[in-house]
Amino acid sequence: VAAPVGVWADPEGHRVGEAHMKRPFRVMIVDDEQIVCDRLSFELERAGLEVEAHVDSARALERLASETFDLVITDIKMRGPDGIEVMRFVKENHPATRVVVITGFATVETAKEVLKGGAVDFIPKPFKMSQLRELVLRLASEKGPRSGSEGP
Amino acid sequence: VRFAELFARPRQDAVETLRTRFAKFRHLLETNDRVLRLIAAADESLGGEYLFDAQYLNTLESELSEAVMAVVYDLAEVSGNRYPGLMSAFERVRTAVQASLEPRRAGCGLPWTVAIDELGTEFAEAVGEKMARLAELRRRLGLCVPDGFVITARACGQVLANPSVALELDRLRQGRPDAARRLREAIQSTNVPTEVVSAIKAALSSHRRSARFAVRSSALGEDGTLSYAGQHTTLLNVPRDRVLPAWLEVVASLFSKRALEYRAQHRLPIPGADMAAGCLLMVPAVCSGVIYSLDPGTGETGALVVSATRGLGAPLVAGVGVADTFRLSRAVPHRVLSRQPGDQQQMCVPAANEGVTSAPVPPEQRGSPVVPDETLAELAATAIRVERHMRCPQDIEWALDLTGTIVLLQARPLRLGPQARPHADALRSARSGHPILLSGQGDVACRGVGAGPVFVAGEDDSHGDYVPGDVIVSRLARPSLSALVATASALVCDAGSVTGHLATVAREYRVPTIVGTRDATRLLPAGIAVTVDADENTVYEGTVEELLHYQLLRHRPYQETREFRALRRMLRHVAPLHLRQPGARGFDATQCRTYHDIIRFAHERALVELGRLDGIKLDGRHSSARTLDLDIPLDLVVIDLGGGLSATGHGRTVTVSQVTSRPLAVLLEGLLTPGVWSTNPAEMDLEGFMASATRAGPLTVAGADSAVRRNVAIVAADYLNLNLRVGYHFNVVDCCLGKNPEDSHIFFRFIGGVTDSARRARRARLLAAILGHHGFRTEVHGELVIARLQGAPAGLCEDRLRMVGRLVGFSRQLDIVLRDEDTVDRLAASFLLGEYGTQGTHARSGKMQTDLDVMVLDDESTVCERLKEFLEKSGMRVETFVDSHAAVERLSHKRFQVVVTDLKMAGPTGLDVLLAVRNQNLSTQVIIITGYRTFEAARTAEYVGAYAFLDKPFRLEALRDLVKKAAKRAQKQA
Repeated sequence: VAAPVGVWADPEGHRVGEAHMKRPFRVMIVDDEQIVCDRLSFELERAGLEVEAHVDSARALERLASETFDLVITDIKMRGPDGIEVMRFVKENHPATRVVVITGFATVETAKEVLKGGAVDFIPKPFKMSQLRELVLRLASEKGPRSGSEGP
Repeated sequence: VRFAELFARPRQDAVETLRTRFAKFRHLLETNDRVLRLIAAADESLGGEYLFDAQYLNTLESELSEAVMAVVYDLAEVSGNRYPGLMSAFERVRTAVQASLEPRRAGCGLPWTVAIDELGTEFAEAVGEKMARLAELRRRLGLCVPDGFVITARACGQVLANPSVALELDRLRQGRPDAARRLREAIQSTNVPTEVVSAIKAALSSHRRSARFAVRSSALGEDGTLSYAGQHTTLLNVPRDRVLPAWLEVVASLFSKRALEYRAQHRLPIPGADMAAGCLLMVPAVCSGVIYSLDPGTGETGALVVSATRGLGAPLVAGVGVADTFRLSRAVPHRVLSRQPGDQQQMCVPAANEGVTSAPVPPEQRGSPVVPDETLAELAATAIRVERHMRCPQDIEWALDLTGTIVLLQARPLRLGPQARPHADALRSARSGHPILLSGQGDVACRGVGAGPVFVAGEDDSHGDYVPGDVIVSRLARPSLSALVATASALVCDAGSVTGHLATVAREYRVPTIVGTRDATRLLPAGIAVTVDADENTVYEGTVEELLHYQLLRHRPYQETREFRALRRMLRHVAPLHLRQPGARGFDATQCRTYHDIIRFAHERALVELGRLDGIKLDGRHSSARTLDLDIPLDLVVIDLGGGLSATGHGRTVTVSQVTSRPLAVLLEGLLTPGVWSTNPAEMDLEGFMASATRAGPLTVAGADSAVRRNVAIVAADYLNLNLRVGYHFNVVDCCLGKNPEDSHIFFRFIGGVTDSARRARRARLLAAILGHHGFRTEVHGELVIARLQGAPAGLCEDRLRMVGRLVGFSRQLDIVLRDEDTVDRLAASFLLGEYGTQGTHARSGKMQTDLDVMVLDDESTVCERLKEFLEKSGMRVETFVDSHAAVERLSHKRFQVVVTDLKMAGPTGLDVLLAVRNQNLSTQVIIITGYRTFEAARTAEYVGAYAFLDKPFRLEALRDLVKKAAKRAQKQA
């Protein structure tokens, strides 16, 4: 499901993720485990992205009602609204926003459901930080050239 | 008739038993592998490359525990429950593993007091951040921190649970007036529970009577965002016999006006059992001070700040002392950038009795520097070392003792203003200014960023040019680099894996590490400055200051998150291996302290037990037995457990080419080597000899017919158990050629008669020497030679097995010289028959069983009847009960050697029956039959002392054998 990820520094030493970035790529992280929010925030901020993280999924939905993000990374099983709900909300209100689902309760069934629901990718926990970083940077580099043609 | 019946059925079942046992053995090896992989994965996770959460830890714990338990059960099956102590060891370790994941409830599994050497930051949730960090510096970095111990928060909980104290705590929580003062008084006048008092006394007893302690508060719940700096009491210069009241004073300070106000300000609840206390030896300080590893005022990354005062540092820490202040370069050699002398008139010194007092600085010392420049540089280097390990800027309290040694008294994250927080934008341009030397190659073994000059490690393990702070670049991940890694800025290897030894060491010292890069040694020339960004698996040329800065100031070190600490705590009970050398003292089930110990022990014993086929009755007439067609006169029958013989042909005879069992094929190669088998020694009739010639009894062949003279090889694709009589020598070879070296073993046992003991001993020594020369671990007991080879790679194992094959043939020729000595023959025969006499009686006759009383208890009468019928056939007297009340009643009137009982019954259960038996008559053995065994039941039964568990469905023969063994135990104990 995940697209192959290669070396992501091009021959001139530029980062693919940074090459096309005109405005910061905005990422929201929703996970009720503090460590996931903290570590992913650090990881993605360090890569030059703008990150907002929420351990409270209800609060995340409030923010999503008023703000637009390029990418939402959400856990599935959470106290309060779950990841499926977050994904649906995003798909209804921000069709151009990409969704990546991370979960510790990975089954083939959940994976199917999640991908049918429009998620770009589905990553079971625990996962490699570099795997997620590369996926996000790839999405960020795709976003650049396409952003004009996409919806609201 | 009875005799015939005894042996009428087991032949079919013996192979089944073997197959089952072999399957269990296989399962044990696989599970052992799985546990090792889980441990490796868990250890690898400490490198930060994986993102995991609490859920993962719980899953990991249950997977590990279940797998280790499976190994324990498999060994029980393979060995016939020979190691009951392993189950209790498992239970003990599992309790510790689970406690490590629930720190607050179980106090991290720590006792009332813990020596500082036992601790590290992973125990902060039980001993507070302050003591946990100090311990980390002492234990992991080997820095000088005063010796001592910690009274844990659990002990504090005991004090607060005291009714008079609890009452006052409740009043405080209800907001009653004056409650805090009354609570403090109640704490200080409370009766400390005796177990806590004796724990503290025991901890103190290892120090001199005249020792003085600093009793320091170490509150729980501090994290990166909030320190309780200065909120709680620390008492200095406390005599040994005053430590207990001093501790209570420290506990009471949890509820001081100031501390409670501080908590209220930060919206924290009234504390509970949240105070641990460090009791560390007082340092006779010449001077003391504080180091900030960065200049907190400016957030500038080039400089660090040292303040120093004569005497004890208490006034300085409290912010009232006068000190000399220095700014030093963070870079080696830590030049002094500026000095600001303070005119110190008074200094803080220990008082004669207890506590501290003020004394004038002697006039001759005034005006001279408090610390010499070289000590300043040393202080700076120490601070950088601490910062590198803790992965964030540090605020360190230090003292210089009479010998000039720097002693660390505290180290905590340095609080910096928001202006010091760097922004990621700065990173992009900074990074693009540095050429990438290496990127995306290899695997990150430990995340983080480090910079320094490249030190290329040589191949000869001499690391003369290495300077602490270097970036080590090495072709191989050599274990000999471990000693350097502790002080390195980063580590990059061409080869190596993230689960290798060096990677583990790097994680322990938190050194950013990339392994398996293939050509780092080519791309990173010695001496140039590089920055290793192990977070993004990239090495830059030059020092990328912004990256270092960003990492240091922006990153909350993942190593100190709750989850990583929990994983480290858990791994302490999982990964270390204490049982190393089989046969050495302490290689014992009861000595297992970690899961690794348990599986190591089980693995080792399983290999031994598999070769020990006692109690299994087999003969060459078994339907699955095939005679091997050989050119030499060796009557060998092969029984295939699976994959040992090619499927072609269903005849009674197989050829060597049809042997697909790798070990048997290899052994035969050796045995059939031309010249090895050249002459025929005299045959001697040793009918019935096979019923075990040796201590552990190889293979008991039942009956008294032609089958007796046959040799038997039990084989699988990668397994061989061979019992071979060659001339007058008896060889047992047990060999497994596993996928992994650690699963491979060769076990060889040789015993031979025919000659006088002096010659036999001489021959044994000769064989042992040959085997020892080939890397076998050997034991010689008179004429018995036992040799083991374990953990060798497949190729080597095969070579050694071939050698064993030749040796078997060769040893036979040793007798040629002895051939005409008929006295030797006679002696040999009597010796061998004597052995047979002691080992054979119970296997052959039912005599012993005639006065064996057995109770069978099952609430299904058909089960009772069936068991009764079968056991009576074996010559036992059997009484059956369907009602466990009646059975318990009967037990108080009649003595049974063995009770066989179902576990789940209406009324008293099998465990109750077991308890009743244990309460009345110690020699009666209880066998519990169960449809499904819960772990709790098994554990209880083991504690109370069940003889064995038998899972349904079981074979009647298995039960009969168990009953017989149990009866022997009962007789012994009676």
